[in-house]
Amino acid sequence: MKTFFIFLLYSSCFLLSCATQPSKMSFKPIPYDIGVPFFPDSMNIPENNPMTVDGVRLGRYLFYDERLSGNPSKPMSCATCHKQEHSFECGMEVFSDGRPIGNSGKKTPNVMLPLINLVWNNSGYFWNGLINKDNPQLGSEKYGVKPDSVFNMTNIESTVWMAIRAPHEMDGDISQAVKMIKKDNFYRELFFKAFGTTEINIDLISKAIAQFIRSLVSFESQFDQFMAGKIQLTESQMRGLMLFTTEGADCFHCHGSPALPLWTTNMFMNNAKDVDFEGQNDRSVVTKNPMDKGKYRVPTLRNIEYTAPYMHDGRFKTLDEVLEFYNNGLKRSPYIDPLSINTNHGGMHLTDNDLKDLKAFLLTLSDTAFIHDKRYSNPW
Amino acid sequence: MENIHIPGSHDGYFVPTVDFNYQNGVCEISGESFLEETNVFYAPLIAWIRDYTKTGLPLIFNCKLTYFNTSSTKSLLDIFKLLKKYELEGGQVTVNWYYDNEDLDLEEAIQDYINDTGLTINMINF
Amino acid sequence: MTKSIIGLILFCLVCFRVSAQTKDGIKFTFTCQDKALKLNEMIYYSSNKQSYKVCQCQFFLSNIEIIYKDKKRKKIENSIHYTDIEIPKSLVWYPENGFNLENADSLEFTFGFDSTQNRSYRFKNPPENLMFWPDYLGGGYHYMKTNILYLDKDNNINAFNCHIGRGQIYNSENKPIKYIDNDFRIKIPIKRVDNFAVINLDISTIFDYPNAVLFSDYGGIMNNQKAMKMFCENIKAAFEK
Repeated sequence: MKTFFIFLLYSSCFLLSCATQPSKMSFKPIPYDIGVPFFPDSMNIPENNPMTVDGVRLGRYLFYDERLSGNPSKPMSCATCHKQEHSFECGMEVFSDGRPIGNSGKKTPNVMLPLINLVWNNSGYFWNGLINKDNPQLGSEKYGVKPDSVFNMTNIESTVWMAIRAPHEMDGDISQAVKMIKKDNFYRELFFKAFGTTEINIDLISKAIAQFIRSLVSFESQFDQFMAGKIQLTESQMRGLMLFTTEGADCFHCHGSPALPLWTTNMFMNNAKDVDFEGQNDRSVVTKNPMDKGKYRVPTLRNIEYTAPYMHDGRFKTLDEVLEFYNNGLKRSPYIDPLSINTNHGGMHLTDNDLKDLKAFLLTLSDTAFIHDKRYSNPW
Repeated sequence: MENIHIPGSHDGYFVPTVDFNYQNGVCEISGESFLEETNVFYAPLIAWIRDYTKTGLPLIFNCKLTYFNTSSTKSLLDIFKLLKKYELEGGQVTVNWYYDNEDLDLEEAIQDYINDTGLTINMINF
Repeated sequence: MTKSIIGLILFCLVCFRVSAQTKDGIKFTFTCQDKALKLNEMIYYSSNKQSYKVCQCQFFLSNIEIIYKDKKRKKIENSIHYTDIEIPKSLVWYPENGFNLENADSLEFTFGFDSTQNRSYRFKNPPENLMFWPDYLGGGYHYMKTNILYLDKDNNINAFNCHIGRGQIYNSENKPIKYIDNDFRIKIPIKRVDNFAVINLDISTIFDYPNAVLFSDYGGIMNNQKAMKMFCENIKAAFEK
């Protein structure tokens, strides 16, 4: 009898350990190599979430998993709106103004920013840089999320819980989302391989999705091929490059150049499109500095062909409209950026042929390899 | 006319050594010129040269400056313009600049003075 | 006994001196019209009576050299420093271990980079990589960006960018055929504050002396070699203030 009970005890221990914790020996995270040597070295990867092959893989499944909303009657994933063919913006096919409608029926306040090359952004995410390493806020009263270190607003991880709760996004339930993900045994092994635990919680879900988003790297545009000496550009494209990188069009001070291959400075600028800033959720809301009125993030021009509409509110539907704005539509205000010398006379005042060349150059920044890359597409 | 003698120093600012001699008509400035109040320093030197040119006597100006800041550059230009004016009025003027010919910046600066004033400045390597 | 006490005292003095030696470095300061610069305040007037405010100032210095009282010189080869008025830690520079200002008489440095150092793509990371100078205009990097906003005669706000880097000579078809390096050496007497030598830049001098600037004559000057040369004269004077 005694022997039987001892046997029972040992068997229970053995079975329990199998159920909860595969051998520690089998957790061998493989670092994920971003692999773009000509981009900057300084990457925004938090110490508590290094990128691993399995972390990125798990994140990709979660990114496309409609159970993330935690609402079986209103399933929604990140990919519901963030579409690869639009550089992970939503495009205009479903929402003609580029502003998706969330599960609550509310529209997003701004259009999206593309999810590419975010790992090199050290100055803050969202149009106004709200998500940044110096933001002390925890939780959100507006979204009914308690102040907890997991619900911080410091990096890409933060955008996951915010997206689940925001009425204009999933309008979902975090605990339900975690429950639904937990229910699927398929995830246990993925979580273990990614984090060395089969525990599933919002912290690890956010970390995995953040790793996947950081892995979205675009660096093989037509222009990159030209810089690598693999192809030639047309005369029109070369003229466009010249206009872009001189004080004629003067795009380069904000949007970079071959020497700044992210094609954004990642800074926040007032680009002279407004004179009235009342009610705008701009940079000044984050910094509390009134001189930051009208400032928004400078988006990358990589894949700009795929990411209409343009500006934070999507007011321009086409690249031609954008170029026309910069050509003749710049507006003075006390908050104009000191770099915007073209505002002095209302715009670039380029000829129609110059504008054609400039556009031809901008289109060379499209990376078709990225928008078709199977590593980023729906794995389900 | 009194002679001018200013001993040079390097105490915080750079004061050049100045020797303007009425008896033999030789004016010399050497060292480095980077002053707190350049106008205050050079005004009496310019006034002395102006007074000297009224005598009609020959003037030799030896410059051995190895470095001068922007405001000193202007004051030196004023001196050279004054010398050129004296020359055009018939005065006998000789300007020598002693310098290290490996100092290309200084060589360029001397050449600029020649071009700006039309004055002949003998560039002597030493 | 007396010798031992003297020896002990001397030993203590040496120890104190050794422990009192701190790292020497360079501090950067900014003035405007001879007072500490106030950023983003429309309180300044150029000598041409144009009202302006200073918004940003960034520059590179390189090849710093100390000249000692005994005329010996110590050049720190390939020393480069980026200064940004909005980045406090860039306002202090420790050029190298053992940078020693004792018996220093003056400092000499290059504004910007010499032609061998001014190479495109050498800085991969911000903030330095943001100073790139387009290849079409000569490549390499900006030596300086000083950005201001000023009021024109109609009281409208305008931008002016004093951006200095490689200049260009153009042919009759407006294509650049030659590039000009606008870097220059500056020498300044040592100004010591504790264990730092201070390099000050007087921003108002950039617009006033020896050449008085009318902002409305320009917007940007990156393709205007004549303007850049003129501004370089003023920038030299600005570091001398």
